Amino acid sequence: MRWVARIVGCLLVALIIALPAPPAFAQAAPRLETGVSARDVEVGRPFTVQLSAMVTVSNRVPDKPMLRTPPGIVIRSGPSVMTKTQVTLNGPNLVQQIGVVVSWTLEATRPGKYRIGPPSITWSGKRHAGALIEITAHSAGSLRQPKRRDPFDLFDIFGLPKMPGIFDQPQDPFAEPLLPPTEPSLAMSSAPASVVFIRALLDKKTAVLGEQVTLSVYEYHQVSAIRKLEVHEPSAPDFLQQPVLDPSEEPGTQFADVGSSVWKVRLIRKIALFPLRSGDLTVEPMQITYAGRGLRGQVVRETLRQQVHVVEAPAEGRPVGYRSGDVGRFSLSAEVDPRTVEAGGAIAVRVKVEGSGNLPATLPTPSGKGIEWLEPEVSDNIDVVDGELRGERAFNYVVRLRTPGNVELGDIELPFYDPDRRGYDVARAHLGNVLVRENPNAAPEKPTRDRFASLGGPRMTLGEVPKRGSFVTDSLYYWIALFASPLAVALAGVGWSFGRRVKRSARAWRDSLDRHAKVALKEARDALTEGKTADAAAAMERAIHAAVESATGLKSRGILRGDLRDALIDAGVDEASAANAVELLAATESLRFDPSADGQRVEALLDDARGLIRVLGKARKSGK
Amino acid sequence: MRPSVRTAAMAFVALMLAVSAVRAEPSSNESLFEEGVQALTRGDHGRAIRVFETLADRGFAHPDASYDRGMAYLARVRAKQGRPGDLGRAAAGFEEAQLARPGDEGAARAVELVRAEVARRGPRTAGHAEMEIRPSLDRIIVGLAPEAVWAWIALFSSVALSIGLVLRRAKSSALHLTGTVATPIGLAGLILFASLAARARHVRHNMHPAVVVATAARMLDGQGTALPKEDPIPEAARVEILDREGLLAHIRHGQREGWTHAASLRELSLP
Repeated sequence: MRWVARIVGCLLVALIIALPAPPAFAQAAPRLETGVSARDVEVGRPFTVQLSAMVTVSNRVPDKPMLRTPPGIVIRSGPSVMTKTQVTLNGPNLVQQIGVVVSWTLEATRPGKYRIGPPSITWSGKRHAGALIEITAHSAGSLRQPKRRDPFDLFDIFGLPKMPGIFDQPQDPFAEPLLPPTEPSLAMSSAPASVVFIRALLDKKTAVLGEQVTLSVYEYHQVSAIRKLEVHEPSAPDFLQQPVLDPSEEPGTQFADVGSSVWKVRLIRKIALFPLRSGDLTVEPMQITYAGRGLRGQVVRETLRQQVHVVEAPAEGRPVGYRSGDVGRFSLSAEVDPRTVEAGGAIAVRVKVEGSGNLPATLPTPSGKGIEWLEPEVSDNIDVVDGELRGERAFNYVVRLRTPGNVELGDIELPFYDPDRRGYDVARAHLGNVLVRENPNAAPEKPTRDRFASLGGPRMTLGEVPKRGSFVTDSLYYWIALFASPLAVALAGVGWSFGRRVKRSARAWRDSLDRHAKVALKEARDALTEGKTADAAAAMERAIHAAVESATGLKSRGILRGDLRDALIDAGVDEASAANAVELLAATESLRFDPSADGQRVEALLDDARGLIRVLGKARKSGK
Repeated sequence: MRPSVRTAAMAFVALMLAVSAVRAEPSSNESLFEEGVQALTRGDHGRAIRVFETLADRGFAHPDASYDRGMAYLARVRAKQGRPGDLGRAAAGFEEAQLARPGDEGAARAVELVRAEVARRGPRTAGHAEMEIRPSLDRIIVGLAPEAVWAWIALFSSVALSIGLVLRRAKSSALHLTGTVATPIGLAGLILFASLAARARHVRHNMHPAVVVATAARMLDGQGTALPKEDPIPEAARVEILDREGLLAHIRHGQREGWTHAASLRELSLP
């Protein structure tokens, strides 16, 4: 019978394959479906509009999505387009469709009823619109969104965390996703990393030394299937650390708006930090290495470095005996037992500190003659209440009493600073009296040598305090005087030398032949302007003689005219200039005695003289 | 009526003054000092310590208050109820008194006794040798004379240099010779003594004296790791704090420099 069944099965498969396929949806309009995450929304809370457009695989994919929104509705993000492939059994045939699912995140800015869209896409050159969406926007905080429970998920029924992957439903893009309520305090404007990241938050940025600062580390994630490979705890060496949340605890998941998306958030660490010193104290980053879905290999995520400004408790109103770091709210109670003891015997004193905050590690015990407090045994019963460390610390002392009589034990006082009240307080426990009886059997105490006996007693009064003299080196004037006087003398010497040199140079310039030649030339021009040709000629003659003497050192006035040319050539003047000088001297001499000489000729001679003087000047400078 | 009104007004004013005086009294440093002395006299060293520490906390730096603070810690040691570091704290009080009142023989004697007691109680190898500080060479040279002496010698050198420079221009050969000799001497003196004065000033401004108030101050590296080969600095030894970083302090102890826990030191304050 089994082979008969096999043959029938094969025939059926062959028949299905041989049947003609139904006509394709060629050129048919795309199948559009419109969805919205909620019909009743709150102002300021995002909701999603989706449009699904599916076509047969042979056609092009729809594109250019568009959504028109009425006033009062804004698009916070989108459109985000996701391609989708769908295979359905249509009779005996498998039909494959492709398409897109387009999402917009919208937000109502004021209450009211709105008609959104319809959303549309373009396909085969035509625009195709989905359905119009009607929503009602209510004022912020007026809606409560119940948690949707999965009736088939046993874990969910009992409120336990959902078991990943087992009861997860396949995502239906058209089902109205119920957006969970988000925690505003965990919202972020943008995600610092994709898929998963961690974020550290401090409950305060400024604290008093000893005041509790709570560090919370949150894990933001979009995908559940990720695992931690390595965890580096945040280090805070300047703080006393006390875990508020056990790292093995798994508190519930919250949701937070991160940019336009909603992320799952889990508190993974909560630590109470008690500053050990004042200043800007740092909490180093926590680091976690992740791997899993959506992550490329192993990725390291870390929190930002946190800083707390820690200050001392205010000096004003600080009670006697306040110790830095005793911050919180405390009360003291004490029990003394027995109240009667023999000299040399011991009693038990149990002091209990109760309250919240940084419970003190030691207590100031009263002291007195014949009373000896031994080191206490300390027991704690500290718990976390509302994120704050609360509890009690018991100090069990053994007190030895040596001196007979009615001994007053005194008070135990614990001054503390209350950060909530911003003031000091003192917790007190009165210990009362103990009757110490004579002990005839007590061994006499061995006298011990007091090595400090020679010091005597304390100083009873506040004596004179010698005034601290001011230091001359603290004055800027001292340093100025120290270096300014020799510097001023040296500078004055340099200035004096320089002045003398300048003066000498000025005098030399004033007496120089060059200057005389120039002055004479100027006088010649002035005389010519006034029409005194004889004077002009005389001045020109003086200028030429001065220039010759300056250039060659020859006193040309004392040389015969006939010998002057050779003398100038011997002195290094070129022949042309030497001849020119002789001619010019002759011309000026004749001009001096020619009252009829015209101005133009004198002008020409003056130009020649100027030219000669320039040539002689150049020759002198070149050393010829 | 008039006299009765006046009497009532005067009584009211007197009452207000009395109330204000009563209110102000517990917070005044002088009354706290008296309270501390009384506690010390009746043997309540615990209360005395708390009172004198409160005074120090308030910034009330008086040599006698510092001395009595040292005495309060010493009283606890003498009552055989001393805690680790009490001798160091006592030494810190006495050192502070000495700083505020140089030449305080009582405080100097007390410091000596405390250090002797620390040396007696400590291991034999440590002893007095560790308590004695050998300052570095520059400190020795700078410490040869008070800062003011270096300052005035530097000023004198400056004047000599100035006169020398002037006399070098003199035409008289004797004056010129004097100037020629005075100039280099003045210049050398100015450089040397001005440097010493500046160094002494720097030391004065940057010196943060402190006393070890733990059984011993372990020498650490910059990361806070103990240096086992380095001998610890004994209790009550005086050191200088050069820098602070977190819970560590960079200190100088004689010629040694290094890091230690800031909590094992008590910085001395000056009035």
